[in-house]
Amino acid sequence: MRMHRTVRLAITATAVAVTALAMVAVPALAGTRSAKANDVYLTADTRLNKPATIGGAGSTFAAPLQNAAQALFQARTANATINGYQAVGSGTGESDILKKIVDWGGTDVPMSQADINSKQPYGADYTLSQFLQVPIGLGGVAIPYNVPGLTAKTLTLTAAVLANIYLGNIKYWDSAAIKALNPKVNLPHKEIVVVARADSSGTTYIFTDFLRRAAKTVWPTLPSKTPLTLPTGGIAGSGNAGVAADIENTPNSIGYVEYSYVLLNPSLLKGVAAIVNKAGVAVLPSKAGIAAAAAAKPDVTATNFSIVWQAGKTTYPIAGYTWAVIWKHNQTLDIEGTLLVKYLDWLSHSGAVDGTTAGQDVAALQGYVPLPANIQALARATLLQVTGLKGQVLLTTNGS
Amino acid sequence: MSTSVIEGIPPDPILERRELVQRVARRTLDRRMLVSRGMVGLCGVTLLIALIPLFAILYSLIQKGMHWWSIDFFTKVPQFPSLIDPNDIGGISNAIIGSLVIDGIAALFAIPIGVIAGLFLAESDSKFASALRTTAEIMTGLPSILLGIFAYQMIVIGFNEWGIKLPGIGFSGIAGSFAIGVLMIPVIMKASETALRAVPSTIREAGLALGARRGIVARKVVIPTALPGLITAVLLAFSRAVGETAPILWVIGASTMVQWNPKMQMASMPLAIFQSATSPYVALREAAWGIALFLVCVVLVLNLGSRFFAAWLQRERR
Amino acid sequence: MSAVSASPFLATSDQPLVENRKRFSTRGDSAHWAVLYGVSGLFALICAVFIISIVVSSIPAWRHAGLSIIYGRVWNQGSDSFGALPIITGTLATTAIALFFAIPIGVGCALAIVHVIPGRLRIFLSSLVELLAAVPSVVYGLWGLLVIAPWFEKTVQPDLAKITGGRFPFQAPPEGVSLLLAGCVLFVMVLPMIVALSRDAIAIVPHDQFEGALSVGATKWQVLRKVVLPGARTGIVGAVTLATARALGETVAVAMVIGLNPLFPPSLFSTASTLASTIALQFQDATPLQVAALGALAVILMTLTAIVNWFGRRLVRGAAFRAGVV
Repeated sequence: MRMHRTVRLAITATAVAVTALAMVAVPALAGTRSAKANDVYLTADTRLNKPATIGGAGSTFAAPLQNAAQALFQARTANATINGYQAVGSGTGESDILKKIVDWGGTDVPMSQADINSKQPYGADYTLSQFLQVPIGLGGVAIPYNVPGLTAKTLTLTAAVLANIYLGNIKYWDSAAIKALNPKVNLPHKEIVVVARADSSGTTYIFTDFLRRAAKTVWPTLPSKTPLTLPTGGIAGSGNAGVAADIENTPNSIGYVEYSYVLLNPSLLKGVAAIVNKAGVAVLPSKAGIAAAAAAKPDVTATNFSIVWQAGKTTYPIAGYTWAVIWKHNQTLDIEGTLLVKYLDWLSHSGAVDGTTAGQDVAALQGYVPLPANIQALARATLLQVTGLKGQVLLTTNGS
Repeated sequence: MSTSVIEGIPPDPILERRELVQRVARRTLDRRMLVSRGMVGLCGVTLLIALIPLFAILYSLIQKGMHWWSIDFFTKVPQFPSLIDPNDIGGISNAIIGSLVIDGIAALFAIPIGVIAGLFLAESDSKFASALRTTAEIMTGLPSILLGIFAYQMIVIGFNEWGIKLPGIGFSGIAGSFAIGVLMIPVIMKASETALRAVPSTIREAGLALGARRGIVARKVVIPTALPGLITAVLLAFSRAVGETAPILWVIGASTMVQWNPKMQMASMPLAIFQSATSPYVALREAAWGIALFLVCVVLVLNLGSRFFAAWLQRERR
Repeated sequence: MSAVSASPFLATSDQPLVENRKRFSTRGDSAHWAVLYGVSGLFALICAVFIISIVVSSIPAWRHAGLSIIYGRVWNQGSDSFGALPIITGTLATTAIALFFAIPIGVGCALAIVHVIPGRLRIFLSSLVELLAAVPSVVYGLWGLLVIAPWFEKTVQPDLAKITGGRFPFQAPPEGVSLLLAGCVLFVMVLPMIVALSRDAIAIVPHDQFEGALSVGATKWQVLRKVVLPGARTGIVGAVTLATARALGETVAVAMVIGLNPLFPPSLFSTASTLASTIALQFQDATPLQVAALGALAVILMTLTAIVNWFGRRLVRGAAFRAGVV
C-alpha cells in the first residue's frame, strides 16, 4: 500500500521533472545534433571484432550517468561488456586506477601528483604524466533539506550560512542568520542535523570549493575530498546515495548531494535550497543554472577545472565536471583499451546524425547537463592520446 | 510436634530443624507458588519475545518481497531504473548465477580440505592437532570482514613484498571464492571432526583387525559411516557461506551481466541486497526485499534440508 | 548418531577424548598420514599467512601513531591522525546494548524451552529460535534499515526521550540510524546463539538434581534459580562470551544502521561507528597509511574476538566436561 503511493508519487514527480528537462534538453539536443552531423568517430563501425570486458569505479557523482550510459552502450555494441560501475567514491576511484584493478577511475576532481604520491602503491613510482583525465559529465551539487512542515517553502541559503551550519556554529533551524534570509518562512526551533560524506568524495571537494571561494572568511580549510568533521549529531553517509537516504530518513537534516540524486528521490525534491550566487540571486539547482555556470567558464582543463561560484544572474553556484582517469599507455590488452576509448568517447559526446543517442544525451535524461561543445572536443583530444601495446593510437575511426 | 513428647529422649536438633523448615515452608507456600508461577510465566514470555523478531522479519520479507517475484525477476539481468521508467529493475539472474559460481568454487576446495583436516583432528592427538583445533575454533569466531581484507590483499591486489611476487587478478569471482572458502574450512573442520569421532571405535577397530591400513579404514569405513553427519556439517557450513556479505564486499567487483567466468567480476546475492538497499533508486530499495526473500528461502532450505536429510539417512541406515 | 551409544569411548561433543590419548599410533600407512598432515598443514599455513599479513600491514600505522591509535580521539585521514577510541567505544557500546537485552531474554528463553515447554513443542520451538540464526546478516541490516529505523525514529526514540526527560543517555534529537538501533539489531542477531548454547548448558544439569530439589518442597522457580542456573552457570557464561565475540565482529548489519560517524557518540540516539563497519567502509580508500591504520583496527578486532572466543569456548567445553557428558 505504501509502495503504491510511492510509485504514484515517483511517477508524478518524474513526469514533472522529465517535462522540465525536455524543455531544456530538446533545444540543446537539436542544437548539438546538427553541429555533430559528420562525427566520424561516432558514426564509425562500432563493432568490436573480439569480446572485451572493461569496468570502472569511482565517483558517485557520476554513478547515475554511468549506470544509464553503460546499459545503452552495451546494447548497441556487439562483443562489448562493461562491468557494473562501482560507485565507491572519487578517492577510491583514484586508488583503484593506480592499483590497476579497474580500467578507468571516476573522480570529480582531476587527479594531481599529490594525490598520486599519497596513494602510491607499494614499490610504484607513478607520475601524473602517465595518466589522462577525460571529462565525461557536468552536473551540480544540490542542497536538500528535510524539515517537516516546510515542504511547501523553499529556503534560501548563502555560502556563509552553509559554512557555519557545517562548522556547527549555527545549531538551530530558527537561528538569526537563516531567519534573516527567509523572513516569511516559519522555521521550527529544532537542531540542525548535518549530513556529509563518510568516504573520500569529489562531491565534498566541489562543495568545499564553493564554500571556500564564496565564504573565505568563514570556511577555514582548502577544498579537499576527505570527509568533513561533523558537528555533534551529524550523520555521515556512504556515497551520494547514502547521504540522500540519510536526509530522507532524518528529520531536520540538511546535506549536499549531486543533483540527479534529488531527481531520483522524489521525496527530496520537496525540499531543495536555493543558493545565493555570485550575482546575489538565489537560484535553485537546475540544468539551466548548471549550464550557465559552465558557459561562464569555458576554458576548463584538467588543471583548471573548478566552475563553482561563477558570475551570471541565472548561474547555479555549485556546479562541477566529473572526470575519468585512465592510463595514457593502456595497461591491458589492446582490444580492451580500444573498447575503453570507444566507450569514453561515446560517453563524452552528444548524438551523431541518424538519431543514435550518445552518452551526453543519456546524461541529459538523468539530470546532468550535456558537455559543452569545446569540452567534448577536449575529451576527444585527450582520448586520442591513448596508446596501445605497440604505441599505436587506440581511438580510430575504422571499426576494430 | 517435638520429640520431647516421647519421655526421656533429648530433643534431636536435626528433627527440630526439619520441623522448623517444614513449618516455614508451609506458611510461605502460597507466596512461593505465586512467585514461582510468575517467574516461570515470565520465562515463557521471554520465549514469545524471542520469537517476535523472527515473525516480524518473515512477515516483512513476505509482505514486501513476495510481489517482486516473477519469471522476469529470476531470468533477467538488472537494469537501473531511469527517470522515465523508475520501476523497471530487471531481475537478479546475474546475482543468482554469481552466487552459484562463487559459492560453488568455494565449496569445491573448502569441503575436501575441511573434511580431511577434520579426519586428521579425529585421528590424531598430537600437539599439532590440538593447536590446529584451537586455531579452527578461533577462526570460526573471527569477523568475516577480516577474510575480505585477506582476499583483497592477496588476490585482488596481489602480493609484492619481501621478494615474493604474486600478480593480482583484480576484482574477480575467484577472490570471493577464496574468502568464502577460507571462511568455510574451519567450520567444516570442526563439525566433521565431531561426526567422525562419533563413529564407534568398534567399527574402526574391526577394520584394523581385518588387516586394513589406517588409510583404507578411514576412507572405506569411517567416512562412509559418518557420512550423514558430514553431509549435515557441509550443508550447514554452505548455508552460512551463501549468506555472507562482508568477505565479498570489495573483492568481486560488480557485474550487470550474467557472468560464468570466475576470473571476471561477478555479482552475488547478499551483495546485491546490500547494494540495492543502499542505492539511490527507490525501486531498487524496494526490490531488495525480493532478493532478500529469495536468499532467506535458499538458506532455510539448505538448513532445514540438511537436518531432514540427516534424520532420513539415519532411518535408512537402520 | 548410531545405535551404539553406550561405549565410554564415544564422544558426543567436539572434545578431545581424554581417556584415549595415544590410543592409535601414527606409525604405518605413511601415505595416509602424509595426506592428512599435508592438508592440515596447508590450512595452518593459510591461517598463518592470514594473521601475519594483517599484522604486518598494520605496522606502518603502529610506527606512525603508536598506541595512540587505541586511545586517540580523532580519526581523520586528511590530517593523518588515527585515534580509534570513539570507534572502540562504539563497538563496545553496541555490544553492551545487545547483551543488555539478550542475556535476560536469552537465558529466560532457554529456561522456558528446557523446563516449561512440554516435550513435543520443545524441538519445534528451539528449531524456530535457531532459524533466527540462519538468517543472513545482510537481511537483518535490510530489515533494521527499512523497517525498524523509521519506527525508532517516529515512535520509540521520541517516546524514550519523553519518558526519561531527555537526560543522558537519551539527549540527542532522535534520528533513524543510531547507536541504539545498531544495538537492537545486534540483540536480535546474538539472541539465537545465547538461547541455543544456554539451552544446552541448562539441559545438561542432571535431572535428578532438579527432581531432588523439587522433592524437598521447593517451587519450580526456586529450583531453577538455586539449582539449575548455578549448575549451568559456566555454560551460560560461555554462551554469553561467544555471543559477545559475534557481536563485536558483526559488520554488514551494523554498517547499514549505525550512521558511520567516527566521532564520540554523545548519546544513544546519535550515530557512531564500530571497528568492523569502519574497516568495511574505508578500506578501499588507499592512502597507504590509512590502510595500515585500518589494518591496526583489524588487529585490535582480531585480538579482541580471538580472546573472547577462546575464553568462551573453554567455558562451554568446561561446563560440558564437568557435567559428565564427556
